Amino acid sequence: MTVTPSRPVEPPRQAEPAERSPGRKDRRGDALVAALFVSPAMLAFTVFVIVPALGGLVLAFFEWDLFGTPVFVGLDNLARLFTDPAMWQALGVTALFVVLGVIPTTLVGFVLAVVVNVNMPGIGAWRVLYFTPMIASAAVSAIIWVNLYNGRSGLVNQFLALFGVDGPNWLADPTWALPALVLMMIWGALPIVIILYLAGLQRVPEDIYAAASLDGAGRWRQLWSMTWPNVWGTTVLVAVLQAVSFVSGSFEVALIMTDGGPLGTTQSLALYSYKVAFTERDIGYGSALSLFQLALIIGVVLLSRAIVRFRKERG
Amino acid sequence: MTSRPHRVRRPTAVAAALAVIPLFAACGSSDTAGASNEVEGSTVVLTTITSLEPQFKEYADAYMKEFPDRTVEVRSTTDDGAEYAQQLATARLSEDLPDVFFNVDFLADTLAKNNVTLDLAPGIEEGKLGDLAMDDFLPQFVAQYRPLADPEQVTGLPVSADSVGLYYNKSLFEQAGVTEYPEADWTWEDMYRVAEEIQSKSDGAVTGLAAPLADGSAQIVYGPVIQAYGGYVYDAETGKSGIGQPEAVEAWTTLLEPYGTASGEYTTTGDDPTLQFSSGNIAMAIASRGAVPQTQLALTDADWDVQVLPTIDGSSTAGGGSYGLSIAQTSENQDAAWAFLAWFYDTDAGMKIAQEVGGVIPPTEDGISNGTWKDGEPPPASIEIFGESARTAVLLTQMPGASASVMAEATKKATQEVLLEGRDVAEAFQEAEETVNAAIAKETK
Amino acid sequence: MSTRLYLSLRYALVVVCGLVLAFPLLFMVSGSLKSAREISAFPQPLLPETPVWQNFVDAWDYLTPQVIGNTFVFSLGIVGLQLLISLPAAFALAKIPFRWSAVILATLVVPMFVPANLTLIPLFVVTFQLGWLNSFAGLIIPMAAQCAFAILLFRQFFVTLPPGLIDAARIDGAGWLRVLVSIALPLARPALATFCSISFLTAWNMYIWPQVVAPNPEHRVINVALAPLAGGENSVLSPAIGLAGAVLAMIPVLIVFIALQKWYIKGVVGTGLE
Repeated sequence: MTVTPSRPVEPPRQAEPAERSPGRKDRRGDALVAALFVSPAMLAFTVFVIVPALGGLVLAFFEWDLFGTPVFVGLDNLARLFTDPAMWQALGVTALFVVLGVIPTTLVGFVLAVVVNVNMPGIGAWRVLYFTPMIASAAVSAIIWVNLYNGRSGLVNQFLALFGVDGPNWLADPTWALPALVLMMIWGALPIVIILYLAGLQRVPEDIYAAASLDGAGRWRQLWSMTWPNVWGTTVLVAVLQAVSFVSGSFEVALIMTDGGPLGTTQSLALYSYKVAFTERDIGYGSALSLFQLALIIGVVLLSRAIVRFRKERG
Repeated sequence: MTSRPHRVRRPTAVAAALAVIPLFAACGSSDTAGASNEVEGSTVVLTTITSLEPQFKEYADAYMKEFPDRTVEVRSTTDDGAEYAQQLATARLSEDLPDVFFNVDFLADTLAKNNVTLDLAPGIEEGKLGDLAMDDFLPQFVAQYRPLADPEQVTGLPVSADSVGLYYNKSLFEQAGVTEYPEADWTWEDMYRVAEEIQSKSDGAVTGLAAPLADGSAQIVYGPVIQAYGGYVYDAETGKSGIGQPEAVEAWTTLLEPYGTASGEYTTTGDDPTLQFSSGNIAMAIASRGAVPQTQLALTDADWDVQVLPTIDGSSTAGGGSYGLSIAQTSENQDAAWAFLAWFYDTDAGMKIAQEVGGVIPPTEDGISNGTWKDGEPPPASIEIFGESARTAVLLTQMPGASASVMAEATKKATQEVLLEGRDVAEAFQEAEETVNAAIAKETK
Repeated sequence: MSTRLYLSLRYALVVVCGLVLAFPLLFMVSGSLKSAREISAFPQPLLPETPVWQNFVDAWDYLTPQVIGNTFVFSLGIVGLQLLISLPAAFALAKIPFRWSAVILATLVVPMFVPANLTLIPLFVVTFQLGWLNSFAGLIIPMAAQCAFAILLFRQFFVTLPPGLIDAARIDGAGWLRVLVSIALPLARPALATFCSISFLTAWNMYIWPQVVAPNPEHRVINVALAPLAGGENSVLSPAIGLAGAVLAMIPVLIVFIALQKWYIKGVVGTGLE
């Protein structure tokens, strides 16, 4: 028994203001107000984010051990990138982290947000449980997950044994270490995704559900045909944040739990850069690795946008 | 988003960022002499790593109780070596280095080379440590803080003459029905044989021996083993590492043998709980004296003890090392810092409390022989073995710049290649040796 | 399927998923009550035999009223300043048509991909040059300036506001500031609550920045004060005390989450019934 929605659902308009009124010129007054509104944030952002970021990246052209005087070495560090096999492996690991991490985190977070977005007695207390992974620091989470993943006595393998599966020694297995870390990172990332979607869901007009079906299958379809398009803006935000966190933010987890091993299979570019810069105290090359990563990301974004535009123009 | 071409050009920001660079070197080459002020009424800032903060607070409290006019403020930063280096670097950039601070083997040479740490040798000569002379300290522990470029200098003083011993859990031996406890004349073969017996008799429930090589970077264990086979980790004269030479390869083969049979499976980090003797699940483990307090806290219902490390070809395989205390070259309270160190290293003052609170073994001949460190409640009943092994211990080798950190990465990689990919031991460690030698060459060029 | 059955199933789902997600954390709370023997044991027992409340007493010793006060000043300062600078910026980017908005958005996103550990030292140098070491200004302002997330979040929210609402107000002669304060903000309550909880938590848990920029004890914040409890090879304390400290530190965060919940869940949306 499925009933299709009685009227098509129009997602809220999320286009850029600039695109919404392409012909209109900025009104002088508006531009002034906008500048006033934007400038405190941009001033702070420039001084404390952009300048330090450039300062860090410029070090790619220097040789520096943290304590001595930085020595200008031109393109030496950048040239070294292309002959370094560890760099290429780390690049692959970063790509895997993003592919395995971002999409599941986003989808599962969305579904869980819908699940807890409900008014029931005592729901508030239960909902708090969903936020708890975010509260634990990386070091504390690591202790817990190392226990869970242990090959012999860990709960994960004890659970698998119930089904007759002989689980691997997760964190020391070149095949399974990366998926194990991704699973843990998804766990840690879910709260922020759930919170963002919860906020997004509050802006979905309720009347779109009015005539929709009430049975299970219908609800599942309604979830993807009506709710999902209505939170698209949130999804974009979540995807960007998760991309940031899987590319660079979460290297801490791998550092504590596997130290990038075994055989470099969990060593992302960010972790490799950190180790080069601060363990081996070769800040210049560490910075070159980060610069390369940044260039690649900008390249991927520009390329994907070009493809989208190309398709639009053709279609 | 719009498709308008971007013009993210921020010349001002770029200029500002470039202007930041020279600041990194603000005091890089300056050798600003520190100053000496009054000792009474002084405040000395002492920075250590976080896990040592509680005990150092107690030392400072005792000092301030004895000298109410003096203040020692203990701060701690982090427990992670890389972060510690970073924070010392920022403190230096802002010319706000602590007066006295924690130093460690893998940082010592870099700090000395860049004029961060004060040469303590002249001060000790002048009697700034009271009755203590340089000769009173165990020479091999002091040697860790002698800069490679100028071995006459001493840029740090060891705090505890720590060496490793073989910890063993008698309760687990009994549980597995094994009664052959470690003896002073054991060889590594004896250790492996008994460990394997325990592990198989307990059906894998008890780990016979925590893997001695741990994650592959435990230099305190592999260093002495390589030496016992006649090899070397680093030769200061030729400036080369020998971890891929035939003698070293023999050592690696021995060290790589027990995984899965006498020891547990390989783990990718050295602080994995399956390697911790205090887990109560491990019959034997090679660990430093520093682990005694934690073990006492954790193994409350087990009967455990320590024994000297087994031998290879008749040579001892005990490794050792100590974190140290250094004085900043730029400190304006150098006399006050000296006064604190003089009190701290006095066997009847600071060292007395350090022995009680931190289980520290004084790094002096007098302290080892007559100190109170061995008078604590057992277990371990045989704690005095650490005195003997401190005297004979093979110390962590001082290596140029950050090459010791590069070596830790390289031996770990080689270990994984052998254990997880079945690569040939000699091949894997020859490659590691090349990596290390390249890093040394870069540091010394 | 009846609505009743559906609702019960859904409730069960909420509880089960919640427990799975929270399991590692419940494990930590249980760990904070374990004895030194239990916390070091491997495999670790799920629950302590007898709860060791002394762990909390020992951890409490490391917290002074000043530390707790500092952490509140630090966290609330960051949240407040970020709101102050991000809300107008986000509003302008979403609703006021002007030429630079796309460039500014790109400028906000790109630096997110530069690793924080690499920018730490340059950021420190900038703060040092401003003479802000060992001060609340140095603690708070550089962190409040990390506002890309706040601006993107609020902008995303403002973009979905119906244009008619704002046009109407504009036609009535309301200035942009007035539109922001009296129309956009009240509607943005869920976004505000979301941002405040996330930002407060992030600031509360900060560790490296306070450590580096204000090492003196007068400005110590909670995670810096609790760090010596985290254990390590040389430690003379039980690791369970460290977990007790972590549990104590998260209480204010939990309170903030619970308090702000009412704000971002507006009512009966979830049932799909009217």
